[in-house]
Order: sequence, then structure tokens, then C-alpha cells
Amino acid sequence: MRDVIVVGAGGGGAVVAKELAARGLDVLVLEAGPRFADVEQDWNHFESDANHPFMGYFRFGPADRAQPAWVRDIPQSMLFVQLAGVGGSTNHYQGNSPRAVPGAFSGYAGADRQAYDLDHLFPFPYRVLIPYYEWVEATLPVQTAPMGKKEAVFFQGAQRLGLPLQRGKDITQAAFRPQENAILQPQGTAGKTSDPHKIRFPAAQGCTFCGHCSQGCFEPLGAPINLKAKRSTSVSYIPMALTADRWSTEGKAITLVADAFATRVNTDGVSARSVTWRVGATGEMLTEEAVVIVLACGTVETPRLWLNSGLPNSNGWVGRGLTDHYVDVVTGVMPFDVGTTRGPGSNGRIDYPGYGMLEVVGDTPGLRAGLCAFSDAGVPGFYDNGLPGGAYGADTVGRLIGNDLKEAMSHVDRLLNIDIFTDDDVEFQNKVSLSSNYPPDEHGPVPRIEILQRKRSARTVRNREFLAQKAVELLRALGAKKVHRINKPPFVIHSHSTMRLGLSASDSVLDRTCEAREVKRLFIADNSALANGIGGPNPTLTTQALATRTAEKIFQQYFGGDAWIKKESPVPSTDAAITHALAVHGTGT
Amino acid sequence: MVHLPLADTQLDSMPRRRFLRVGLLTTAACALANAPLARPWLTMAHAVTSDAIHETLQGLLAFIVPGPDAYSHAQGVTTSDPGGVDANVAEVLIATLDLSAPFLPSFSGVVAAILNDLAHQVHPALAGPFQAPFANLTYPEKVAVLQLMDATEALQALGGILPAFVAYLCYSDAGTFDPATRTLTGTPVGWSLARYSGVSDGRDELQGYFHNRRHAD
Repeated sequence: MRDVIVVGAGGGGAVVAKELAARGLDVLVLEAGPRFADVEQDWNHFESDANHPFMGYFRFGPADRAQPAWVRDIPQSMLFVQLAGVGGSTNHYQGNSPRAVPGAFSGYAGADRQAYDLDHLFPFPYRVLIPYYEWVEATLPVQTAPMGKKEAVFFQGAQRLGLPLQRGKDITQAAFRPQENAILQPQGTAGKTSDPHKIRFPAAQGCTFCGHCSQGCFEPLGAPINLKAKRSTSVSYIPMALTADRWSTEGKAITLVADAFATRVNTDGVSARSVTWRVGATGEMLTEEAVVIVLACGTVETPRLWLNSGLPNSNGWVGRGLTDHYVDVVTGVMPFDVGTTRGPGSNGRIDYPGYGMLEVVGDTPGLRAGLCAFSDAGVPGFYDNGLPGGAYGADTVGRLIGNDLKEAMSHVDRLLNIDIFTDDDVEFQNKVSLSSNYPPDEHGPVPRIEILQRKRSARTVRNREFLAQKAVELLRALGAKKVHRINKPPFVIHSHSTMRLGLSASDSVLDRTCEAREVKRLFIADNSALANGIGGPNPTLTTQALATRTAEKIFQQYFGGDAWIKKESPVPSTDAAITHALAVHGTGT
Repeated sequence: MVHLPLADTQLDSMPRRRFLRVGLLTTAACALANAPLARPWLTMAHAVTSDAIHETLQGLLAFIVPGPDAYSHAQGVTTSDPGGVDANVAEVLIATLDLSAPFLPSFSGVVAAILNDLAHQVHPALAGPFQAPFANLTYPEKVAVLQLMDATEALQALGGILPAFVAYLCYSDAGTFDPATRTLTGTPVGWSLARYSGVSDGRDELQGYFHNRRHAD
């Protein structure tokens, strides 16, 4: 019997695994997707290889790319962007690691306290999470981001709107700032050259400004895996977990098994007892017992696994309350180069507490063109679809196709893209359930994802419109030649709260320790555990802080251990002891 | 809404166990496969030839990214620089559609059937140089087809993702990417159109730190 089985090696599961491995527990981690052990070999910079939604290595599918991706029933125009594999969606994320908005928590007493989703707050005050934020920020580490051209221009725009600079990590007012992100700051030649002979480790360290966050970060070439620039859990927490016996005095290395799709959590009627999984390569079904089981399969697969396991759902909230930040994009065609395809995905942001946030975003040309053509608002000049969404001075609202697309894309490095992330309400109607339209696949009934785009709450719609207006104003203030608002269908790159923790047993699945209310010894440690959309900021850091807290609760409650946060200093994932252990002992399976 | 006469098809007898492990476009295919209104298109797909599929999807590529090609001329919107037809992605598009829906005999054929059927509705007396009606539509008529898709529940997922996926293919490296070697065989058309400098392991782009702030307070 294991001490702990963690299902899912993504942004949250890897954190629980590393923390408990450091305490000496025997931890088994199951990951449905590929191992991604050698990122310099596994990944490259080509969009076709990485981002092809069906055949790319960043897909929600099995390790064997000759096999099709896994099914999801999505009965509407929607892009749900998640990927399988060790590291999960942190492999293609942009590393942005802001803290949550304090107003998303209980006990918030700010002047704007009425501006939030008051019915679905975190069940504890924001200050409770701060020590856990600090622990994760030191571990990854999270640092203040440098600027590329697009950030320098974006900050000029923010200043022209009269916004102040946010100087601390906590969000206290509407303000702009460089991202706090989990990307190592550039050193040496990094960010200063495109000469391939000069940007190898150790001459180059940290972010090389290659512009390929979305294809996975394996830069600088030649760097040990735990010194790759972007701190996906595949290069930070997982290497730490695999070498826990080498850098923690009482640590025990985890067992990591990829290509292992969990299909059932087994209970004795009261407590979780074991996990059954399917080996992708052979189809073999295996079961192993554990004292505690932690689900971290993501906002879709965690409720799917719960429902497929026949676990209780007395209040009906399993899979419900999906928040997605009601994302939109406003793009400005600038009269000068802003380096859209160069540098990190996003190193600048504006937070509007109570409304959400804006980020300046760059990416590769295929992804950008696809995003320009993905809209729920028709074709400019021809028709709209009746979706709420004002122009606010934008030249177009809707899909960019035809000559509009060609014109916008005629110099991709002149596009200043502002992504909108709305502080959206937890709504019962937006959900993950089991599909009744399709037969089960080899892992059981398949998940169905639904977001009622035209029935969002008034506050959610208001917030998105506010942010769209601000984005247009900013681009106009910078002299954009044209401004396009895309007005997207659900473009789900942030998803949360489908297994939410909450104040009330009537509308939440988890208690305040992230243990399931109806199944003991069963915890959840991915974005689905979040109580809400955390007010709009990128959710990964908050999930990781919460997962750290969950690990501590597990250790105290079920293993008689002591808390360590506030008592110890975290070991950074870049520590030389870890680098050495990886060099000598490798990364295991 | 598009109102089509319902007709029996082989859908009910389709091997349901083949509804397995599918990808992004598959959600659109799944929506279609389960919608009663979509059954005529699934039937029509059997009669769509590979040439007609190719023409239809070339017409779609020209619609999303016009160029100097015959399909762009047929729609009345052209450009002097290359377009989607020149990007060498038609076969990638067809292959992706088919692979994404293994439970359908030819999802590319279904997509072509839908686009051509809606083309007939938009312009019943349509004639032109191509056997695929969609490829003969004018640009505004193609927009009308997209509008019909947006307004038809069974087609909303497809209408949403198809233009985006085509745009992605046209501006990505898809036209020159060799999956066997994981390298490019040439410069992608989309890169040239976008004046993209190409992939790199690093860039001379660092602009320093805002107000020299390297740490939050």
C-alpha cells in the first residue's frame, strides 16, 4: 500500500507529490499522457508539431501520437485548451504567476467588497494563503519579468490611461505591472542574441526570448532540465519529486508512471481506498491502494473520474460551476514593430479588481491567425450573432477572415494583442458532466463540457464589456491604426471551480482543507478545487499554493506530521543539489 | 435556421464503437453525427468525390485567406500575394478532418457536403468553373454560408472552429512541415505573408526591466 496516490502530474498534482515526497511519504504519481522526460528531444518550435490540436505533442491524448486524441463532447463552438502529459497545461502556459484578487476570498473588507461573486467566495481569508504563495514563489521561483518591445509599448499605454504601477505582489487597486512569472530572468547572452552559437547554456541562462512558450520551453539548449527557463512542473516540481531523497533530509523519491489513465477511485463506502488505471500501451488494468488519494486530473477529467467512479454527489455540484474567465481578445494593428512573436508570451498585465485583467500577449503566426478567426460575433460588415459586445471605438467586432485577416496578419510583429480575462461568476449551468451522446471510450463514459455563452450573469457580461472598452482605449491611446475586437466563443485557457471548495456544504464539493465532503481520504489539488475564478488572474499559482496547503493538511491529518510552512525555508527547484541529483541519477521513469 | 427534409441514413447503423478518442474538430463532427438535422449531410457525403472535396476546401482556403488563385477569382476577392490555396495545406486539412472523426467514413466529405448544400441554399441557380458549388460562390455568399452555420445548432461547433483552424493552418508551418523528420521542407507561405522571422532558440529582444525593477516590493 502506498501512502499517497496522486492522479495527474500537471500544475497541481506535481506540487502535492513533491511536498509529500519531501516529508518522506511513499507517493505514486499517475499521469495519463506522455512522460516528456527529455524536452529537448520531445519538443521543438514548430506549431504543426506542437499545437496541432489533433496530432501535436501538446494535445489531450495518449503518448502514442499514432493514436487519436481522447474524446470530449463539446456541443457548441468552444476551444477547451488542455493537454495531457507530465507537466500538464503548464507545459504550454506562459508562466504568469500572479496571486488571486483578495476580494475573491471570505473576510475581505475592502471598499469594493461588493464587486465580487459574493455567493462563491473562498471559505477562508486571503491572508491564509499568503504563506503558501510565498513558498511556491520561492520554489518555482517566481520573479519579476523583464520587457520585450510589446511590454514596453503596453506599459506606455497603461500610463496614458492614467493607471499607476503596482509595486507589490498583492492586488490592491487597478494598476499595471510587469508580470510576476515563473520564467527565470535572462542572464548572459539570453535575450541579447539570436545567434545559435551564443545562446547555449551556460553562456545563456534563463529566458532566451525565443517566443515559443506555446510550443514548450526547452531553452536554453544544454541546460539541465531543472534550469530550463519556463518553470512548467515538468522541469521544476517533478524533477524535485523524483529526487526528493537527494535534497531533503527525510525525503523519498516518488514513483512516476506515465501513460496511466485512471479510470476509477475505489472506496469502502466511507473513504477512498485505491485507484484503478489503464496502461495505455498494453490496455492492462492495474489497481493500487493508498492511505490517501489526491485527484489532480484537471477541471474536466477530475469530475469525470469522480462520476465514473460512482462517488456521491448529493448536492449535485460535482462538475458544476465551471468558470473560464469569459476570455476575449482585442488586437491593435500598430504602425511600428512591437515584437509580437518575440520574447515570452506575456510579460505585462493590468489588473482591474472586481472586473478581471488585461494581458499583452504574443505568439506564433499560426496560433494568432487562428485566434483572430475564432469568434462568436459573425463577420464584420456582414452579420453578427447577437452576442453582447460593443465596439467601443474598435474598427471591427467579430471574425477576421478574408482580406481583413490578411491585412491584420500582413506584419504579425505589429499586432499588439490584449487578452481579456473576466472575473466571471460561478454558475451552476456551466458544467462538466458525462456524455449521453457517445458510447464510453476505453476509460469510461466521456466528459461533456457546456458553457451557456448567452446566459452568463449580468455581472460577468458587464465585467467583460468593461475590460474590452479599456483594451480599446489603451490601443487607441497608443495610436493603433486599426483595432479589432474578436468577441470570442468560450476560449477556455483558464478553467476552474468544477469541484469547488466552499463555505457551504450545499454548493461545494470540498471542505476548507480540500478534502471531499462526502469521501474521506480523498483530496483534490487542481484548478477544479478553486472556489471561483479567483477574480480573473491566471490561476496556476493559486492552485499551486492551495495544493501546497492541501499537502500540509494531508500530512498533518493522516500521517501525524507537523506543518512546515512558516517554519522552514523552501528549497528552490533550481537548487544545485537537484541539478546534481538529476545529473547523477537521472529522472527515473 | 436551415430547414432540410429529414431522411433516413446509415447513421443509426453506424458502428458506434468507433466513437473513440477524438480531437478538437471531432467535437464538431460529433455534434453533427448526433443531430437529426445533420443526417442528410451525412448521406450526401457518400456521394462527394475526392475532387469535389478538394475543390470545396480550396474554396474555403481562398475564403479565409484570399490570393491570386482561381478559387479567389471565382469568389471575386483576390490579392496579388499568395493566399491559402498557395499555402499547400489542403491535403493537411483533409487529412486532419478525416483523422479527427474516425467514426465517419469521410469527415472531409461531410464538411464538403455541408458547405455545398448550404451553397445551394444561398444561391440555388449557382454555376461556375468548379464542380463544387461552394467554390463557385461569391465572397458575400460564402459569408452567408458561414452565417447559416452559425445559426444552425448542429453546425455551430463546426462553423466556429473551421475558419479558425483554416487560418491556423495557412499561417503556421503546416504546409512545409515534414512529420517524418520533424523539419521544414521550405519557408511556409504563411510566414512570408506575416513577415515572420521564423523559429529561433533565442532573440535579441530584451528591453530591460520596467524602471529597473527586478523584484516586487
